[in-house]
Amino acid sequence: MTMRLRDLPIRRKLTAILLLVSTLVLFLTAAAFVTYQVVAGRQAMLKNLATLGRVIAANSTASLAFANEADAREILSALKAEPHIVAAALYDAKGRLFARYPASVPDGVLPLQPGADGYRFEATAMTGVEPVLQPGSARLGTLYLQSDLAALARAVRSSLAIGAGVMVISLLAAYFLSRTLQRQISEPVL
Amino acid sequence: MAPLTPGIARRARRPAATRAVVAFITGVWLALVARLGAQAVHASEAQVKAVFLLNFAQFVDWPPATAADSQAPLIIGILGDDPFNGFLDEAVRGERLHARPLVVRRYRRLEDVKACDILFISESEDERVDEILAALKNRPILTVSDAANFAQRGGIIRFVTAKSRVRLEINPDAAQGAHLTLSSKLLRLADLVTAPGR
Repeated sequence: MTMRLRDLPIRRKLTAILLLVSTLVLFLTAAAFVTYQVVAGRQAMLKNLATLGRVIAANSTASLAFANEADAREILSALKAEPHIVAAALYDAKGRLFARYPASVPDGVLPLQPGADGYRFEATAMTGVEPVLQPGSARLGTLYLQSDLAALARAVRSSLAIGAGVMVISLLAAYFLSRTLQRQISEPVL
Repeated sequence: MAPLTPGIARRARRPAATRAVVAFITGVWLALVARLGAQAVHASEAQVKAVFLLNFAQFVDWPPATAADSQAPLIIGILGDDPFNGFLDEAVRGERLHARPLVVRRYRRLEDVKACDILFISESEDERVDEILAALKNRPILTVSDAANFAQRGGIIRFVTAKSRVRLEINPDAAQGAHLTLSSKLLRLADLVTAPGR
Protein backbone atom coordinates (compact mmCIF):
# COMPACT_ATOMS: atom_id res chain seq x y z
CA MET A 1 0.00 0.00 0.00
CA THR A 2 2.65 2.54 0.97
CA MET A 3 4.64 1.67 -2.20
CA ARG A 4 1.52 2.44 -4.25
CA LEU A 5 1.26 5.85 -2.64
CA ARG A 6 4.93 6.61 -3.27
CA ASP A 7 4.95 5.81 -6.98
CA LEU A 8 1.69 7.65 -7.63
CA PRO A 9 3.41 11.04 -7.32
CA ILE A 10 6.23 9.72 -9.57
CA ARG A 11 3.69 8.74 -12.22
CA ARG A 12 2.03 12.09 -11.93
CA LYS A 13 5.36 13.88 -12.05
CA LEU A 14 6.40 11.97 -15.19
CA THR A 15 3.07 12.68 -16.86
CA ALA A 16 3.28 16.28 -15.86
CA ILE A 17 6.83 16.63 -17.25
CA LEU A 18 5.88 14.91 -20.50
CA LEU A 19 2.83 17.14 -20.89
CA LEU A 20 4.80 20.28 -20.15
CA VAL A 21 7.46 19.45 -22.70
CA SER A 22 4.83 18.49 -25.29
CA THR A 23 2.88 21.69 -24.75
CA LEU A 24 5.96 23.83 -25.17
CA VAL A 25 7.04 22.04 -28.33
CA LEU A 26 3.55 22.09 -29.80
CA PHE A 27 3.07 25.74 -28.96
CA LEU A 28 6.32 26.74 -30.62
CA THR A 29 5.49 24.64 -33.68
CA ALA A 30 1.99 26.05 -33.93
CA ALA A 31 3.26 29.59 -33.50
CA ALA A 32 5.82 29.05 -36.25
CA PHE A 33 3.13 27.57 -38.49
CA VAL A 34 0.70 30.45 -37.98
CA THR A 35 3.42 33.06 -38.45
CA TYR A 36 4.54 31.44 -41.68
CA GLN A 37 0.96 31.23 -42.96
CA VAL A 38 0.33 34.90 -42.25
CA VAL A 39 3.60 36.10 -43.77
CA ALA A 40 3.28 33.87 -46.83
CA GLY A 41 -0.39 34.82 -47.15
CA ARG A 42 0.44 38.51 -47.19
CA GLN A 43 3.14 38.00 -49.81
CA ALA A 44 0.77 36.00 -51.96
CA MET A 45 -1.93 38.66 -51.70
CA LEU A 46 0.49 41.40 -52.74
CA LYS A 47 1.67 39.30 -55.63
CA ASN A 48 -1.88 38.67 -56.84
CA LEU A 49 -2.71 42.34 -56.65
CA ALA A 50 0.45 43.15 -58.58
CA THR A 51 -0.45 40.69 -61.33
CA LEU A 52 -3.93 42.15 -61.59
CA GLY A 53 -2.46 45.65 -61.66
CA ARG A 54 -0.05 44.87 -64.44
CA VAL A 55 -2.73 43.27 -66.59
CA ILE A 56 -5.17 46.16 -66.19
CA ALA A 57 -2.43 48.73 -66.77
CA ALA A 58 -1.32 47.01 -69.97
CA ASN A 59 -4.87 47.10 -71.29
CA SER A 60 -5.35 50.76 -70.39
CA THR A 61 -2.52 52.23 -72.43
CA ALA A 62 -4.53 53.22 -75.50
CA SER A 63 -7.45 54.70 -73.54
CA LEU A 64 -5.02 57.01 -71.76
CA ALA A 65 -2.98 57.73 -74.89
CA PHE A 66 -6.08 58.84 -76.78
CA ALA A 67 -8.07 60.31 -73.89
CA ASN A 68 -10.95 57.87 -74.19
CA GLU A 69 -12.71 57.85 -70.82
CA ALA A 70 -15.46 55.47 -71.81
CA ASP A 71 -12.94 52.82 -72.79
CA ALA A 72 -10.96 53.39 -69.58
CA ARG A 73 -14.08 52.89 -67.48
CA GLU A 74 -14.87 49.73 -69.39
CA ILE A 75 -11.42 48.31 -68.77
CA LEU A 76 -11.61 49.09 -65.05
CA SER A 77 -15.02 47.43 -64.84
CA ALA A 78 -13.26 44.11 -65.50
CA LEU A 79 -12.14 44.36 -61.86
CA LYS A 80 -15.62 43.15 -60.95
CA ALA A 81 -14.09 39.69 -61.28
CA GLU A 82 -12.10 40.29 -58.09
CA PRO A 83 -14.63 41.03 -55.33
CA HIS A 84 -11.92 42.15 -52.89
CA ILE A 85 -11.09 45.21 -55.00
CA VAL A 86 -13.06 48.04 -53.40
CA ALA A 87 -11.86 50.89 -55.60
CA ALA A 88 -9.63 51.62 -58.56
CA ALA A 89 -8.72 54.61 -60.70
CA LEU A 90 -6.72 55.62 -63.71
CA TYR A 91 -4.81 58.91 -63.64
CA ASP A 92 -3.46 60.67 -66.72
CA ALA A 93 0.18 61.61 -67.28
CA LYS A 94 -0.34 64.81 -65.27
CA GLY A 95 -1.77 62.88 -62.31
CA ARG A 96 -5.37 63.97 -62.86
CA LEU A 97 -8.16 61.48 -62.18
CA PHE A 98 -9.26 60.08 -65.52
CA ALA A 99 -11.55 57.13 -64.77
CA ARG A 100 -12.83 55.46 -61.63
CA TYR A 101 -14.19 52.09 -60.52
CA PRO A 102 -16.83 51.49 -59.39
CA ALA A 103 -18.71 54.38 -60.98
CA SER A 104 -20.30 55.31 -57.66
CA VAL A 105 -17.14 55.38 -55.55
CA PRO A 106 -17.01 58.64 -53.55
CA ASP A 107 -14.11 61.07 -54.04
CA GLY A 108 -12.72 60.54 -50.53
CA VAL A 109 -11.88 56.90 -51.20
CA LEU A 110 -9.52 57.64 -54.09
CA PRO A 111 -6.30 59.58 -53.54
CA LEU A 112 -5.97 62.98 -55.25
CA GLN A 113 -2.61 61.98 -56.64
CA PRO A 114 -1.62 58.37 -57.15
CA GLY A 115 1.52 58.35 -54.96
CA ALA A 116 4.66 56.26 -55.31
CA ASP A 117 4.67 53.17 -57.53
CA GLY A 118 4.45 49.84 -55.74
CA TYR A 119 2.20 47.56 -53.74
CA ARG A 120 1.83 47.88 -49.97
CA PHE A 121 -0.29 47.19 -46.93
CA GLU A 122 -1.92 50.16 -45.27
CA ALA A 123 -4.00 50.38 -42.11
CA THR A 124 -7.29 49.15 -43.52
CA ALA A 125 -6.46 48.21 -47.08
CA MET A 126 -3.94 46.89 -49.51
CA THR A 127 -3.05 49.41 -52.22
CA GLY A 128 -1.20 49.23 -55.48
CA VAL A 129 0.15 51.92 -57.79
CA GLU A 130 1.17 50.72 -61.24
CA PRO A 131 2.62 52.84 -64.06
CA VAL A 132 0.75 52.69 -67.36
CA LEU A 133 3.06 52.75 -70.33
CA GLN A 134 3.80 51.08 -73.62
CA PRO A 135 7.25 49.50 -73.61
CA GLY A 136 9.84 51.88 -75.02
CA SER A 137 7.78 55.02 -74.57
CA ALA A 138 7.02 57.71 -72.03
CA ARG A 139 4.61 57.07 -69.19
CA LEU A 140 0.99 57.52 -70.17
CA GLY A 141 -0.54 57.54 -66.72
CA THR A 142 -1.03 55.59 -63.50
CA LEU A 143 -3.31 52.87 -62.19
CA TYR A 144 -4.40 52.82 -58.55
CA LEU A 145 -5.94 49.74 -56.92
CA GLN A 146 -7.39 49.37 -53.45
CA SER A 147 -8.22 45.97 -51.99
CA ASP A 148 -9.87 45.10 -48.67
CA LEU A 149 -8.09 42.92 -46.12
CA ALA A 150 -10.90 40.40 -45.74
CA ALA A 151 -8.94 37.62 -47.41
CA LEU A 152 -5.98 38.20 -45.09
CA ALA A 153 -8.25 38.28 -42.03
CA ARG A 154 -9.80 35.01 -43.10
CA ALA A 155 -6.37 33.45 -43.66
CA VAL A 156 -5.18 34.54 -40.21
CA ARG A 157 -8.35 33.24 -38.56
CA SER A 158 -8.20 29.88 -40.28
CA SER A 159 -4.52 29.33 -39.60
CA LEU A 160 -5.04 30.23 -35.92
CA ALA A 161 -7.94 27.79 -35.78
CA ILE A 162 -5.93 25.03 -37.42
CA GLY A 163 -2.95 25.72 -35.18
CA ALA A 164 -5.08 25.66 -32.05
CA GLY A 165 -6.93 22.52 -33.19
CA VAL A 166 -3.73 20.65 -33.94
CA MET A 167 -2.31 21.69 -30.60
CA VAL A 168 -5.34 20.47 -28.62
CA ILE A 169 -5.49 17.12 -30.43
CA SER A 170 -1.76 16.58 -30.07
CA LEU A 171 -1.86 17.44 -26.38
CA LEU A 172 -4.69 14.96 -25.78
CA ALA A 173 -2.77 12.29 -27.67
CA ALA A 174 0.38 13.18 -25.71
CA TYR A 175 -1.51 12.90 -22.43
CA PHE A 176 -2.89 9.44 -23.14
CA LEU A 177 0.35 8.22 -24.63
CA SER A 178 2.36 9.50 -21.67
CA ARG A 179 -0.01 7.83 -19.21
CA THR A 180 0.47 4.47 -20.97
CA LEU A 181 4.23 4.79 -21.43
CA GLN A 182 5.04 6.00 -17.96
CA ARG A 183 3.31 2.92 -16.54
CA GLN A 184 5.81 0.77 -18.43
CA ILE A 185 8.63 2.71 -16.77
CA SER A 186 7.29 2.87 -13.24
CA GLU A 187 5.83 -0.70 -13.01
CA PRO A 188 9.15 -2.64 -13.44
CA VAL A 189 10.58 -0.42 -10.68
CA LEU A 190 7.92 -1.63 -8.25
CA MET B 1 -48.47 117.27 -79.96
CA ALA B 2 -45.58 118.15 -77.78
CA PRO B 3 -46.57 117.23 -74.28
CA LEU B 4 -42.97 116.89 -73.14
CA THR B 5 -41.25 119.94 -71.79
CA PRO B 6 -37.70 120.51 -73.08
CA GLY B 7 -36.30 119.40 -69.69
CA ILE B 8 -38.08 116.05 -69.74
CA ALA B 9 -37.17 115.51 -73.38
CA ARG B 10 -33.47 115.95 -72.54
CA ARG B 11 -33.75 113.52 -69.65
CA ALA B 12 -35.56 111.01 -71.89
CA ARG B 13 -32.81 111.25 -74.53
CA ARG B 14 -29.88 110.75 -72.08
CA PRO B 15 -30.92 107.27 -70.79
CA ALA B 16 -31.44 106.14 -74.41
CA ALA B 17 -27.94 107.27 -75.36
CA THR B 18 -26.46 105.57 -72.29
CA ARG B 19 -28.29 102.38 -73.13
CA ALA B 20 -26.94 102.48 -76.66
CA VAL B 21 -23.36 102.96 -75.48
CA VAL B 22 -23.70 100.18 -72.92
CA ALA B 23 -25.15 97.88 -75.56
CA PHE B 24 -22.29 98.67 -77.93
CA ILE B 25 -19.60 98.04 -75.31
CA THR B 26 -21.27 94.80 -74.21
CA GLY B 27 -21.45 93.69 -77.81
CA VAL B 28 -17.78 94.36 -78.43
CA TRP B 29 -16.81 92.69 -75.16
CA LEU B 30 -18.88 89.59 -75.92
CA ALA B 31 -17.34 89.34 -79.36
CA LEU B 32 -13.84 89.56 -77.91
CA VAL B 33 -14.58 86.95 -75.26
CA ALA B 34 -16.11 84.64 -77.84
CA ARG B 35 -13.06 85.08 -80.02
CA LEU B 36 -10.66 84.41 -77.15
CA GLY B 37 -12.79 81.51 -75.96
CA ALA B 38 -12.76 80.00 -79.43
CA GLN B 39 -9.03 80.44 -79.55
CA ALA B 40 -8.61 78.69 -76.21
CA VAL B 41 -10.69 75.72 -77.38
CA HIS B 42 -8.82 75.71 -80.66
CA ALA B 43 -5.46 75.70 -78.89
CA SER B 44 -6.26 72.73 -76.71
CA GLU B 45 -7.74 70.81 -79.67
CA ALA B 46 -4.49 71.33 -81.60
CA GLN B 47 -2.55 70.28 -78.54
CA VAL B 48 -4.64 67.12 -78.14
CA LYS B 49 -4.19 66.22 -81.81
CA ALA B 50 -0.45 66.83 -81.55
CA VAL B 51 -0.19 64.43 -78.62
CA PHE B 52 -2.32 61.86 -80.43
CA LEU B 53 -0.05 62.05 -83.46
CA LEU B 54 3.00 61.11 -81.51
CA ASN B 55 1.12 58.52 -79.45
CA PHE B 56 0.11 56.71 -82.62
CA ALA B 57 3.75 55.64 -82.90
CA GLN B 58 3.32 53.44 -79.83
CA PHE B 59 0.41 51.52 -81.30
CA VAL B 60 1.55 51.03 -84.90
CA ASP B 61 4.06 48.57 -86.25
CA TRP B 62 5.88 49.57 -89.40
CA PRO B 63 7.17 46.82 -91.71
CA PRO B 64 10.59 45.53 -90.63
CA ALA B 65 12.34 46.89 -93.73
CA THR B 66 11.67 50.52 -92.88
CA ALA B 67 12.44 50.09 -89.21
CA ALA B 68 15.71 48.33 -89.98
CA ASP B 69 17.90 50.90 -88.24
CA SER B 70 16.78 50.87 -84.63
CA GLN B 71 18.29 54.32 -84.08
CA ALA B 72 16.79 55.99 -87.15
CA PRO B 73 14.48 58.86 -86.25
CA LEU B 74 10.75 58.31 -86.49
CA ILE B 75 9.47 61.09 -88.71
CA ILE B 76 6.16 62.84 -88.19
CA GLY B 77 5.43 64.96 -91.22
CA ILE B 78 2.95 67.76 -91.83
CA LEU B 79 1.84 68.22 -95.43
CA GLY B 80 0.46 71.72 -95.97
CA ASP B 81 -0.18 74.44 -93.38
CA ASP B 82 0.87 73.66 -89.82
CA PRO B 83 -2.20 73.90 -87.56
CA PHE B 84 -0.41 72.86 -84.38
CA ASN B 85 1.08 76.20 -83.38
CA GLY B 86 4.27 74.70 -82.01
CA PHE B 87 2.45 72.11 -79.92
CA LEU B 88 3.72 69.24 -82.03
CA ASP B 89 7.35 70.31 -81.73
CA GLU B 90 6.90 70.75 -78.01
CA ALA B 91 5.24 67.37 -77.58
CA VAL B 92 7.91 65.62 -79.59
CA ARG B 93 10.91 67.19 -77.87
CA GLY B 94 12.99 64.56 -76.12
CA GLU B 95 10.55 61.77 -76.89
CA ARG B 96 11.69 58.43 -78.18
CA LEU B 97 10.15 55.21 -79.37
CA HIS B 98 12.50 52.59 -77.96
CA ALA B 99 15.84 54.04 -79.16
CA ARG B 100 14.41 56.05 -82.05
CA PRO B 101 14.11 59.80 -81.55
CA LEU B 102 10.94 61.48 -82.84
CA VAL B 103 11.31 64.37 -85.27
CA VAL B 104 8.87 66.70 -87.01
CA ARG B 105 9.24 67.61 -90.71
CA ARG B 106 7.16 70.01 -92.71
CA TYR B 107 6.41 69.46 -96.39
CA ARG B 108 4.88 71.83 -98.91
CA ARG B 109 4.71 69.45 -101.82
CA LEU B 110 3.89 65.78 -101.94
CA GLU B 111 7.05 65.05 -103.92
CA ASP B 112 9.11 66.16 -100.91
CA VAL B 113 7.68 63.35 -98.81
CA LYS B 114 10.45 60.77 -98.93
CA ALA B 115 11.10 58.97 -95.65
CA CYS B 116 8.12 59.58 -93.43
CA ASP B 117 6.40 57.40 -90.91
CA ILE B 118 3.37 59.43 -89.87
CA LEU B 119 1.97 62.05 -92.23
CA PHE B 120 -0.58 64.61 -91.15
CA ILE B 121 -2.40 66.03 -94.16
CA SER B 122 -3.49 69.52 -93.32
CA GLU B 123 -6.82 71.22 -94.06
CA SER B 124 -5.06 73.35 -96.63
CA GLU B 125 -4.73 70.26 -98.83
CA ASP B 126 -8.38 69.25 -98.50
CA GLU B 127 -9.14 69.40 -102.23
CA ARG B 128 -6.10 67.33 -103.11
CA VAL B 129 -6.67 64.56 -100.55
CA ASP B 130 -7.67 61.98 -103.13
CA GLU B 131 -4.62 62.51 -105.32
CA ILE B 132 -2.34 62.60 -102.27
CA LEU B 133 -3.70 59.31 -101.02
CA ALA B 134 -3.40 57.79 -104.49
CA ALA B 135 0.23 58.87 -104.72
CA LEU B 136 1.01 57.46 -101.27
CA LYS B 137 -0.71 54.15 -101.93
CA ASN B 138 1.16 51.11 -100.61
CA ARG B 139 3.80 53.26 -98.93
CA PRO B 140 4.29 52.44 -95.25
CA ILE B 141 3.06 55.83 -94.06
CA LEU B 142 0.36 56.34 -91.44
CA THR B 143 -1.87 58.98 -93.03
CA VAL B 144 -3.83 61.17 -90.63
CA SER B 145 -6.12 64.11 -91.29
CA ASP B 146 -9.21 66.07 -90.22
CA ALA B 147 -10.50 66.17 -93.78
CA ALA B 148 -14.10 65.14 -94.31
CA ASN B 149 -14.54 61.44 -95.11
CA PHE B 150 -10.79 60.99 -94.95
CA ALA B 151 -11.08 57.39 -93.83
CA GLN B 152 -13.69 56.48 -96.43
CA ARG B 153 -11.47 58.01 -99.09
CA GLY B 154 -8.59 55.71 -98.16
CA GLY B 155 -6.85 57.61 -95.39
CA ILE B 156 -5.92 55.57 -92.35
CA ILE B 157 -6.90 57.73 -89.38
CA ARG B 158 -9.27 60.68 -89.25
CA PHE B 159 -9.65 63.06 -86.30
CA VAL B 160 -13.31 63.72 -85.57
CA THR B 161 -14.08 66.46 -83.06
CA ALA B 162 -17.39 66.04 -81.27
CA LYS B 163 -18.46 67.71 -77.99
CA SER B 164 -14.91 68.98 -77.36
CA ARG B 165 -13.56 65.44 -77.61
CA VAL B 166 -11.30 64.25 -80.38
CA ARG B 167 -12.42 60.82 -81.59
CA LEU B 168 -10.81 58.57 -84.13
CA GLU B 169 -12.07 57.01 -87.33
CA ILE B 170 -9.84 54.29 -88.68
CA ASN B 171 -9.83 52.48 -92.00
CA PRO B 172 -8.15 49.15 -91.23
CA ASP B 173 -8.01 48.14 -94.92
CA ALA B 174 -6.03 51.27 -95.68
CA ALA B 175 -3.63 50.38 -92.87
CA GLN B 176 -3.24 46.93 -94.29
CA GLY B 177 -2.59 48.40 -97.75
CA ALA B 178 0.19 50.47 -96.27
CA HIS B 179 1.69 47.34 -94.66
CA LEU B 180 1.10 48.76 -91.21
CA THR B 181 -0.12 46.75 -88.23
CA LEU B 182 -2.36 48.70 -85.89
CA SER B 183 -2.61 47.51 -82.29
CA SER B 184 -5.99 46.11 -81.29
CA LYS B 185 -5.86 48.50 -78.32
CA LEU B 186 -6.00 51.40 -80.77
CA LEU B 187 -8.61 49.82 -83.03
CA ARG B 188 -11.09 49.20 -80.24
CA LEU B 189 -11.16 52.91 -79.41
CA ALA B 190 -11.99 53.99 -82.93
CA ASP B 191 -14.94 53.88 -85.25
CA LEU B 192 -13.87 51.49 -87.94
CA VAL B 193 -14.65 52.58 -91.45
CA THR B 194 -14.42 50.93 -94.83
CA ALA B 195 -14.09 52.54 -98.22
CA PRO B 196 -17.39 52.34 -100.11
CA GLY B 197 -17.59 49.66 -102.74
CA ARG B 198 -15.76 47.02 -100.66
